[in-house]
Amino acid sequence: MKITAPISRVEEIQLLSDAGADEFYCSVVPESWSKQFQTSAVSRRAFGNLPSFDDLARAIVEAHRLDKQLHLVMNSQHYTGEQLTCLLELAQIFDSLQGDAVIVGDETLLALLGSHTFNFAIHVSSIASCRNSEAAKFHHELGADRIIFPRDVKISEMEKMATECPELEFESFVLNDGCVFEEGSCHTIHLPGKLGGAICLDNYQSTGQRVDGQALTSEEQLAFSQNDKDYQHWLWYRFGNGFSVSPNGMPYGPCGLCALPRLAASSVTSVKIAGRDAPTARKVKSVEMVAQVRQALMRSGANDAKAIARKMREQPEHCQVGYMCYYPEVRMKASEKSIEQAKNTIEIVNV
Amino acid sequence: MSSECLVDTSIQSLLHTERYRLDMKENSESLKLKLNHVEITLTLTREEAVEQLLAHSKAPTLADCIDKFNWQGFPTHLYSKSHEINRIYFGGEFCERLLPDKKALLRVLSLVDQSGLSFSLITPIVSDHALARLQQLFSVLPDDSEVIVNDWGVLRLLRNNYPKLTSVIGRQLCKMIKDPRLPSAQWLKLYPHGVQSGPFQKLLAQFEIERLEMDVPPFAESPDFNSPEHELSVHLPFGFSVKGRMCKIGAMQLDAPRKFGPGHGCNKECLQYSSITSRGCSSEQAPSNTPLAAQTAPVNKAEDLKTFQQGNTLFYRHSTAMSDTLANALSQGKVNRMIFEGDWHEDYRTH
Repeated sequence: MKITAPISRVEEIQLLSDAGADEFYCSVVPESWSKQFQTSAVSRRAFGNLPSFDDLARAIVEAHRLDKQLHLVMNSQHYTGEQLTCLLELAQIFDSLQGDAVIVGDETLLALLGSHTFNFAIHVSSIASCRNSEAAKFHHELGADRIIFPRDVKISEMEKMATECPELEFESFVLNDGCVFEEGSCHTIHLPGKLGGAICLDNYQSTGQRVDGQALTSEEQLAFSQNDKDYQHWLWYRFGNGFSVSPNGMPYGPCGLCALPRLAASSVTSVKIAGRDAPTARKVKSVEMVAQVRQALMRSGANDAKAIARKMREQPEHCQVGYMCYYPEVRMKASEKSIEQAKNTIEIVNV
Repeated sequence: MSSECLVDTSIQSLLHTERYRLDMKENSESLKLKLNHVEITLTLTREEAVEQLLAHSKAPTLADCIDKFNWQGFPTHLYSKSHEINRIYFGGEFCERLLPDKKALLRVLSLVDQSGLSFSLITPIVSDHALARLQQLFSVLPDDSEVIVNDWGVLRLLRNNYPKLTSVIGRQLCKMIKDPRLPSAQWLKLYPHGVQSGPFQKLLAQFEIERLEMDVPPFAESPDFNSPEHELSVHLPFGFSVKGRMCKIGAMQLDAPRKFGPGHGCNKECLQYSSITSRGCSSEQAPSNTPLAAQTAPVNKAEDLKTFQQGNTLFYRHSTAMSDTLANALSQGKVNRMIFEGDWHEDYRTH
């Protein structure tokens, strides 16, 4: 099982390779794109892009020197006809530089690239919401070689898709960023903070009501209130335990480390670490964490790997709560005591 | 909202809208007549709602819907309430758990048939598990029935296994920015949609698609509804901004550790409850006494679209300007099917 890591600078490739990464993904915004469209929306990132084609060329050379792969991200949900033309040119340049794969989120772009003869592979981004075997086959018929599972997919669903589509590679998220909603069904903009930021972090307040027009009973009001508290608790985990790191310096955020044995058994080709625009130190630490669990899996089996994964941040109570998990179905069983313990250690904030 | 809150572009937009509204009032009668060439469709999620509407009314009208479903704010200046409903959409657009079983579908089909209405099964993004359910449903649909497709995998299944059913591309596959918080139309220009792009049209042609659906995006303009190669359906009076697989309200009755995970269970609380949602217009009004809220509190004062959440989806109500733009597109013949949201809306209180 490969580890796929994000880069935003060429220098990160050596560091992340040393930490255990096998594949790298990055994005670049062509100067012509910025001039023509006044946006960086090639890959949904204003920041964390490689600065130029020269850097892209160097990144490919550097990855290949280390016998690794480099993937280019072009995963906006939608593009205009003019933008698609520009992306086709970008793909041609990437192909001429001998890049290994492009990551696309828009089926139109997939079909366009798939209709040309390129040497690179095509990976379907999690943005495409490919959640069933028929969808995987649909994307394969358009030219896809690998499906990156969306974040909210159960491992049993991945297993089914991998079994049904042996001709495809699959990639699963393993660490870091989480979305509240489905990425492929989120049609909002991560606005600047002063305008509200991401909609899932914005200051929305909600008032529950019954659809029969009757007033909520006191029991229902209580249930709404408790659910709101639990939801805030979950959001806190979803956003990296309040954007923090563990006492021993490990990144928080959605995590699938203890699911690694099951993912490996599911024929998942690679596990993805999110966060192109994260600091280098966070990327390195993340790769080290995944590599350590992978190594334990290979050396001493699934049980040891899971145990290492759950001890890694030295705060297993967070694992027990289950809200930090990409794949909560494989988490440790939570006892009432451990849940209470976790609640007492966590500052509940109104996200 | 006070006018000084608005940025310059919004003021211009507002003035333009007011001028346009005056024009629309003068033209409203002729517009109503032209709606006779438009198919009037109603989306219903609950089987009881279908019974409620069709059990005693052979030719239901929009007025019946206003009465039975307690619709608020129907744009009487644009559309006559006496228009008859021509077609029923039934199923689950945003959640596979809302798909009916075969018996329920057969009961609804019978009612719709007795009323002489057309029928479309509306389907969401699905897992493999729900694909199996869909196959049961497809098998009982009469030939030439429509299926509204929001998952490319469902499209593939239909084309390969049920060629006598007609696929319509749903609004979740016609992706565009629909953020209810955008302060001005300028933001949309950074992320233009590709519904009219040649490659997207070519992709649809590859699958012999004849009709597609879309939402009215914020700050919609008439060209948004250009669709020379396909018939166009538009949803009203709500669009959707964002959809999760995780469902906050659906987690209400679950034990805390089981809440909010991928594909978690529910008691279909979305059929019993909804939530009116809003955020503070300004940072002065928004509670910002918590660390994360303080980081992200909005300071803009532009007017948000009104929103509500039902189930896993956040909906916005069209502004007056958006409603007018849609009416204009209808009068120009760009849109020939209106899809009214039937039993899901933002305010269920009796007024």
